[in-house]
Amino acid sequence: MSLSEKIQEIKSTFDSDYKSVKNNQLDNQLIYNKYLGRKGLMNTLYPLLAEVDANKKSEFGKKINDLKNHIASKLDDKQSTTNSSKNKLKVDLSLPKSYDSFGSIHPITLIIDEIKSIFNRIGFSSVYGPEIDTDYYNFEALNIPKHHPARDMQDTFYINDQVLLRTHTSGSQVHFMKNNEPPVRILSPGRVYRNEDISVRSYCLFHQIEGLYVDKNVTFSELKGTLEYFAKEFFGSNVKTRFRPSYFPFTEPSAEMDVYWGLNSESDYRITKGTGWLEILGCGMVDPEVFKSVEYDSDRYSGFAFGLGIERIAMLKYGIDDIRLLYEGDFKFLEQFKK
Amino acid sequence: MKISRNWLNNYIESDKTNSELVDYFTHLGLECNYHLINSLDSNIIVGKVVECIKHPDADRLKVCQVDIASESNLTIICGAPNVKENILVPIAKIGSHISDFKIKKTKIRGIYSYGMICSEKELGLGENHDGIMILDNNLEVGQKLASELEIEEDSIFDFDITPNRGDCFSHLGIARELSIIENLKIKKEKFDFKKSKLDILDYVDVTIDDYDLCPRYACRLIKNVEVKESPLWLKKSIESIGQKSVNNIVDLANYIMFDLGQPLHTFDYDKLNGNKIEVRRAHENEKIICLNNDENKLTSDDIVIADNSGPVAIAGVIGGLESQVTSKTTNILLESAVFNEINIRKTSKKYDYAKEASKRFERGIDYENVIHVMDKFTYLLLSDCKKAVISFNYIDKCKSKSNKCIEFDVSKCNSFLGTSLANKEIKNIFNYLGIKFYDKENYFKCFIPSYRNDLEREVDLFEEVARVYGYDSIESNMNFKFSINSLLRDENLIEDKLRTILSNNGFNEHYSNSLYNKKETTFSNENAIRLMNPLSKDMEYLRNTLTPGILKALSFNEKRESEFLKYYEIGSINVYSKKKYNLSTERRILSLGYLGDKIKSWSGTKPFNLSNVKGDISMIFHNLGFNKISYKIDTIDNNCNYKISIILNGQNVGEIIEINDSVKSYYDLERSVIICNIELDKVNVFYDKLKISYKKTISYPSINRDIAILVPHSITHDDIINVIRKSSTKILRDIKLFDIYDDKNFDKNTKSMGYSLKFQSTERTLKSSEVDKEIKLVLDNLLNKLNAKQR
Repeated sequence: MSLSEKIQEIKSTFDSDYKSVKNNQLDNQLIYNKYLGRKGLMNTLYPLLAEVDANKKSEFGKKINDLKNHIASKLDDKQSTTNSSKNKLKVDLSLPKSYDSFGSIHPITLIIDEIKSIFNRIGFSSVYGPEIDTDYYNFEALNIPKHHPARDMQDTFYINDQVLLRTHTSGSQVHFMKNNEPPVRILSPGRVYRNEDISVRSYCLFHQIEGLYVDKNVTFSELKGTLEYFAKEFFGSNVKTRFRPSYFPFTEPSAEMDVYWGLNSESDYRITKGTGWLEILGCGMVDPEVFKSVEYDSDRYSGFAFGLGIERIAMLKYGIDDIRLLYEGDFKFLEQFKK
Repeated sequence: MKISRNWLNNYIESDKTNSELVDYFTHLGLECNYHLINSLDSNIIVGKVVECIKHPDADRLKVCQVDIASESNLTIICGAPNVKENILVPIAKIGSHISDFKIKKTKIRGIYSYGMICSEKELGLGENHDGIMILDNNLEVGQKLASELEIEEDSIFDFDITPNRGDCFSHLGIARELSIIENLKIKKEKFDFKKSKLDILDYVDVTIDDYDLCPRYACRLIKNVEVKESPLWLKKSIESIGQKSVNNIVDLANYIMFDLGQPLHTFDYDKLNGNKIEVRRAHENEKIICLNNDENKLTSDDIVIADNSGPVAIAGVIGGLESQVTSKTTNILLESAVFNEINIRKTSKKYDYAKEASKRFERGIDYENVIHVMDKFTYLLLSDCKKAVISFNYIDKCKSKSNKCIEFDVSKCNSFLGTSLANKEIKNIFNYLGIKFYDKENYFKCFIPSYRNDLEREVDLFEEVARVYGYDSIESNMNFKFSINSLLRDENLIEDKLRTILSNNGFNEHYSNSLYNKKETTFSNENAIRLMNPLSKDMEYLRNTLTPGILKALSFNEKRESEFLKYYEIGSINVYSKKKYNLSTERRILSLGYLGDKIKSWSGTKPFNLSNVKGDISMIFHNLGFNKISYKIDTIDNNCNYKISIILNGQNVGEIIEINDSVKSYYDLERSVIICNIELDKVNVFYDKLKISYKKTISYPSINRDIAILVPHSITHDDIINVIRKSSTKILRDIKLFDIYDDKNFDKNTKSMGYSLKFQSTERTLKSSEVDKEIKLVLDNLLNKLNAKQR
């Protein structure tokens, strides 16, 4: 059989098959596979093309393609008519879900998770410290001896003279370093307490994340790089940051990182005190006194630490204007927060 | 701390704007902001009320004609009770600004008013707002009020000084920082004044008990002093930074403190008993009546200045009433000293006198400046009290103190900061800071100025270098490198997983206040931790259960007419544990809370009860990877209607409780509440060990058979399952309960249970006869062991 006859034959068998498809006697997909599938009839034609005279090749090639297109378009038409004719589902798709709560994740969790994942990517592992701790871990070991003016910065709840509710997550540094040798690259989130009256801006407890990196030759420049990376990941790659000197007894040099928030609204003026800059976190190079407390050799190792307040960041990120909302449990508030 | 810019100009002048200065100071680590004072609009002028008649349509308003030395008088409507004819008053003309408010032409009850007569408060010149400000008659009408009153505009910077920078607690200190910004030297002061032949040693004999308590004590005698109102410059200066003027002596001592950072004390010399001044620890229970009339009992931690009869001042904290300078004082003993920081702090905390003086002593005083400070006081006093007689000498008791010296290694500094600063840059920085040094190649020997008590170690100098060089100028290194040895497994992974499971299943996550009142701790029988200094009785304990936190949240929502709610919280509880270093054991808990017993929606109302809760718990554990949990009825306590234990691998890992009416009424709840608490630390132990091992699926067909049996009510589903399982061990694959049926026709104690049994072999296709045999065995065993008859 010549190629030309062969083409003709396939066309006529398809036409008769197609009638059965139209009557739904034959399945569309079956016919598709018979003609256009990998082992379909159309594919048997191409090897024959090789035997045709060179000057006729293009003519036959076109014939084969025409037939292929013919079959494909017929079957496509059929496909779409079958679908529309079958789709007789009649429901009110606008009806709500039959149970009204979709579930939610608390904004504090959302922020902690986001920060954890940003730092996890650059090798910080999460560890946890106790909420009830001693004066030693919370203050002394962090170079805040009794009667140090820095104690005024943190009003403390005491259980007795020595035992207290931690005022910051920085004590986790001490716990961890006492039990582990460098290199240390940790993140420690948790709840902390301050003996402060409850108001729109302050609450007697809040959450912090502490970060610590100790190894040989850790530099202030890496501290900056790490926290700028964080700011870019968290606030977007266009964020502007600045570092300015500050004071924490457990770091030297100490710094605070601000991000540029802008001055586009009245509330921007209020929260940035008219400067456009917003304090995001405190940080610094681990003070040699802290290394002494945990018996690390400060001639061999250096490191940096940082701490940030979760509530503050959550309030900024979501525009929450009253810290108490975070602990009230109002459903109308909570249901707005999802992953 | 407030700093006046005009005052600062005595030391160093800057052309920078206020907001530029705020920025520069902030970058040096001195956070601040500023505001303007005495900035009177130039459109506010002196006017004279020439006519004052009652407004025809308002009882309280007056229509005034005001002469402002221009062609015509202004008509101004005024409501102040003290407005009258022939007085001079401040006039805010149309277009002037009074704080944020712009004066416009306004119609008041039909008459136009062309300005405003102002009160002291409206002008920011005082607190008086009872009426308009009445000016001295000798001022010139029509002139600018600011120039007539000689009011000088000033910018006040409010600094938030970190506790390490005691040296910045004065105008001089801030000027030193400004000199870094401006790269200028500050003006040096020297004070010469006329001294008399008066020999202080004839009058005073100072002894210091312990130089650790008082490293330096100096004093000078000044006779023939006149105690009076302060001169205007002094009054203005201290008022500009928010201090109240008392008299020339007190004000001057205050001025010097804010100027130079050294607190001074002045005694009425004639009230001192004898010549002897002793600086010593107080005796236990020694008493002193202080300036504020408090009588204090002292302890040996307090340092006192004592005369022959006892303490006359608590050193560095507060003076004694008896020896204070009064209007009758003529001879004063001026004290300038340095006291031990820690003792001062203990004392000021104890008596709650954390005032300006003690704040400075606590943060460290410039040991070398003590005499200069006394000189400046004396010099300024003499310019006001010309008749005063100054002792030619002064007493200066001190421990010799050598200049602090720190070795500094440039390459170490660079590798610590990640910088590559040249020696020349380091030298510049040290010059800015007033640090003198010898240098040899990369090594510096640095001599620290006496006012920088905070610089003690090489690393402190690294910070100074970084601070002056600029933190923002240090390049950021983002080539993160870290060792595999520092990577750890997150022990709380289960919590992340639980949050995903719960929130995806309609639960809302809640965070509650973990400080409870006593009643709330009774939801657990474990001892809660009590705070020594709670904010209030309502927050006296740290939580030992999460239940009350959830209940409060549910109650909050019920009042706001929320529908059925599912809440959860994951958090720590603490219980008392005597043996622990921190007296407590902390545990992580998951708490679920359900409000309501039905779920309403457009598709109908569905009841919600214990079985739904069990369904959720199965769902949670199943998603964690646990196949089987069981329950046990537990004994109830005062808070619940029932209590059910959740058992995982034979261990009690939690509880389900339904809150009873008395608790509901305590929390003002009406709808039913079910709470479920799960001990995550226990679950975590099993979770860590979980392994999934794949069981081959069976390709041979299965045969299903249903059975229905009548059993006594006391027989549980578990009992039945156990019997069935033991009866058919090889080919029984699965048992499903499909029906429980209670019918009046049954015996009172009987229920019908329907089970669907699935049989399947791993090796071949089963024959029906084989299954029949198994079913018979099952039914026989049920009858024998549980007295269960087939229906």
